[in-house]
Amino acid sequence: MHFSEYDLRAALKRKDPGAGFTQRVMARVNQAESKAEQPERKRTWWWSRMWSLHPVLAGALAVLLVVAAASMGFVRYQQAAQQRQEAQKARAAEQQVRLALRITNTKMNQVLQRVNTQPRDNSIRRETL
Amino acid sequence: MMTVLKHWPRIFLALALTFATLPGFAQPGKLELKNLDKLSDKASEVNDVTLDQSLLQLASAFLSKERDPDEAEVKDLIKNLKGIYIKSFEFDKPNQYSQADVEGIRAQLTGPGWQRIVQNIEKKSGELNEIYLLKQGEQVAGMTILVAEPNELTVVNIVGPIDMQKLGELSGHFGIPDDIGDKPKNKPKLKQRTEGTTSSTEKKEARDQKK
Repeated sequence: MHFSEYDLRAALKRKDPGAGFTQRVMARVNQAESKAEQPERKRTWWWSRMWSLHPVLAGALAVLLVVAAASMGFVRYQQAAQQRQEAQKARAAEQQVRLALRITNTKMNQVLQRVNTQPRDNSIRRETL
Repeated sequence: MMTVLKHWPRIFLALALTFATLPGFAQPGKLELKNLDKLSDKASEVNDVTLDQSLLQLASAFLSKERDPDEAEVKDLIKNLKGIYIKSFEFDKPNQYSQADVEGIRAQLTGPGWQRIVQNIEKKSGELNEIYLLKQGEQVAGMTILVAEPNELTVVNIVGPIDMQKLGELSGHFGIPDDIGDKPKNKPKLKQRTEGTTSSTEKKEARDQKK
């Protein structure tokens, strides 16, 4: 394809940009700047974006989190209370064991002592020791 | 038939309770001590201990050999026990319990397996001190101590294999007082008597009683 000199002159001839050229240029510049600012938007928190997008859903999620945390706290409290109760029961049982062994030991010694020290004429003794 | 099917849980429960209370189905070695509960009102001091196997295990878990070496001994002593049941009454006035109360306990100790190893009856005051062992083969499967004095009635019923030697060794440890009074120097060791033998003391006492 060949271009004649006339064609080239016509193509490179000075043209009037028309009215509003400056505004169009400034608009494009602003558009470019706004594109450059877009990465900063990523820094915003996901929940705040979600809050702005779906306030009901975010609210429900927040309530759910609070309920879950409260439930876990209640379960932990109940477990601790149960452990305390078990420990108290065990301590009471241990005290009962002490008392039982004290009585048993005392009475056993008492009986054996009676058998060994009672005068024979007033008592009947039988030992199979 | 439909009525039976409809009420089978109740029927099952009733049967279970009935069989559980029958002597044959009760825990071997455990005495029925409920008939002594009525003495609580008359007594000035009452010690009532009921420790079944679950409570003993719970107490055993609480005992720590690191905390106190004595606790290790106690833990060892109670680990195989199935129950400790004690009723001890002290009275301000004498004769607050009846002979029937004592005989109700002694009658249970005539059952199979029970052997009286020590008996001391003081004729003048009517004191009765007895120790019984429940034997299962060569093993001791239970023990009962019966102390009936004018101002005191105590029944100690231990169910399960009890080591008498270890029990005796607990004196002075674990909050248990040392042997009371003047203990004889040679404390007799408890042994099983061969069936059918009678000691010379018993023979002499039997002769004296006949006279």
